Amino acid sequence: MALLETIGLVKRFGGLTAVDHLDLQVNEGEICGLIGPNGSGKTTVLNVITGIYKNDGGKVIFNGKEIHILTPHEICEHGIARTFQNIRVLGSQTVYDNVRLGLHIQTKSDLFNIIFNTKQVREENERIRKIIEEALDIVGLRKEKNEITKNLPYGKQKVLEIARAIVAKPKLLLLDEPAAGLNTAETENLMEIVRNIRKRGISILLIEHEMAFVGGLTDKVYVINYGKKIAEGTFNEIKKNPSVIQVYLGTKGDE
Amino acid sequence: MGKIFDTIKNNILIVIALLLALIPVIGVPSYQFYIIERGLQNAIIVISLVILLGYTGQLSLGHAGLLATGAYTYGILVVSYNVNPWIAFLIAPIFTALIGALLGIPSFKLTGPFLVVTTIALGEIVRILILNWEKLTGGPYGLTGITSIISNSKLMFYLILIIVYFISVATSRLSVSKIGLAFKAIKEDEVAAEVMGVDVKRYKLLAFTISSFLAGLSGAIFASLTGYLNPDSFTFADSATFLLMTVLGGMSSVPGAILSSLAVTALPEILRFMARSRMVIYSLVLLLIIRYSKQLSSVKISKFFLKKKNKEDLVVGGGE
Repeated sequence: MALLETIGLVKRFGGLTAVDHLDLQVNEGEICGLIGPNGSGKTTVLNVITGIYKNDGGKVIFNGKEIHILTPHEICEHGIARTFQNIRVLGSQTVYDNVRLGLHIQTKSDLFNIIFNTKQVREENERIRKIIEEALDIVGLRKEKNEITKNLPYGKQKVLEIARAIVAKPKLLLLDEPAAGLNTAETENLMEIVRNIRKRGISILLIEHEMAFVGGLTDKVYVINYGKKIAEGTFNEIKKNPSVIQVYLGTKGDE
Repeated sequence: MGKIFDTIKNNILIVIALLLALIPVIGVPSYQFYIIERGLQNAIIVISLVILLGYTGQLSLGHAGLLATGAYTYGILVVSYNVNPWIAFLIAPIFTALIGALLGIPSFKLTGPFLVVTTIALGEIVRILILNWEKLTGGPYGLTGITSIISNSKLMFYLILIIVYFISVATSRLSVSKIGLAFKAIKEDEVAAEVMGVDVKRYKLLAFTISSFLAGLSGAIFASLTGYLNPDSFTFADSATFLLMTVLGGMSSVPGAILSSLAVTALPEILRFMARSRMVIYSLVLLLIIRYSKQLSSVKISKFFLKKKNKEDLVVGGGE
């Protein structure tokens, strides 16, 4: 059974149907790509899956549970973490604290223990510190851990967001254009990071325009246009698919 | 390394507390002594705004209403119902926290100016209620004959000091904790916070509840100090003054909150010799302080410490 499945997913904004009866499946251990032209509804799909938008029809099933009825923080607790197209890190907090936010649901300290700084809190802080440092090692930000985040270059903020997402121990990680705005070296590095994450048993659904990135990583690709699925298959398959070529390049004599 | 920074921060609090603890020993004229007590009492409500505004980013201009709730709860219980002052002193903040939690509910949907207007409304509702519910509150005539928790003024001073110190330490711990981080995440990006598992509604409610509890506590101390309550002490202008103290103290710094509360409370009294032009000068001084506070504020000082720490880290990192 698929880890994540959307069945006939619909999302409308007024008269515009942004996601139109979309069926997706992400299996355990897979890296799936979601591609399509600008405005085709890719980010909307992620926003519906993570509960930021309520769907207008269909279902999102994750790990055997219907999650489209849940709030975003509940969905996070069920094991879905994500990054954003236009990075959403806490700019005025340190790199360390940004990653710490990803550990929110795993941190158990309550108000009483915090105020009296009990042993439980101190032990937990120590445990958390190790997890955070490990995550920062994976994305190569160990040295920057005490920097204020907004002072980091764009590429580092992007991987910081990934570090924040993986410490939440998700079963599924959603990446929204992770390579956008990165240079070639940074993109190479990011591909390595994504492969490492998969090795840790985290499945990935990613949106990307950078085709070398999609081709180099994904097991399966979905192509959508105007919210409708127009093709699915391996990257090599969809590359040859006439309707995909039409969407991206137009048909002959179209001009 | 975080620990060292924490120790420095906590030590600043200890230094402030010890200096203040010397005041009754030195012997200060009773009016000045009273002003310092009022400054410390204001520090509690300013710390409550540090949590709400500085950490969580929810601006309240109705805290005078919450202060009044705490003060009148204490006063009415002690005067009209003969409740033991200590018990009233416990009930007042808890009751205020409940009222404040109600104020947290609109914050789920309202942000920015809309929420501010709602908090102003709460402040006014409380004030007008006190003004018109004469049977219970004494209305415009005020509530008199409120017994203090401790009649000995020096002991009262130390009680307030201990409370302020405890709250300061607790707030500093809160700031670096999971809850503090969730608050700050809400301030910076609610969507990011929610997606990372923060129950934004619950944490906003918590911020309002903690903040109101402290405001109520400050109110109970106020009632205990003055022995007399009147709705005029809880106007919109008072809420604005608390906000001013918060901003002046660096918004999210606890030591800054204490120092600015003491300073802003004392300032009109220091300027009293100027008679009529007093409030003009008062406003002018505040404007100047705000203009130049960046060079003075404790935030800057803590940043200085943080920078130093980072440099050490770099040296260690380079040696590896």
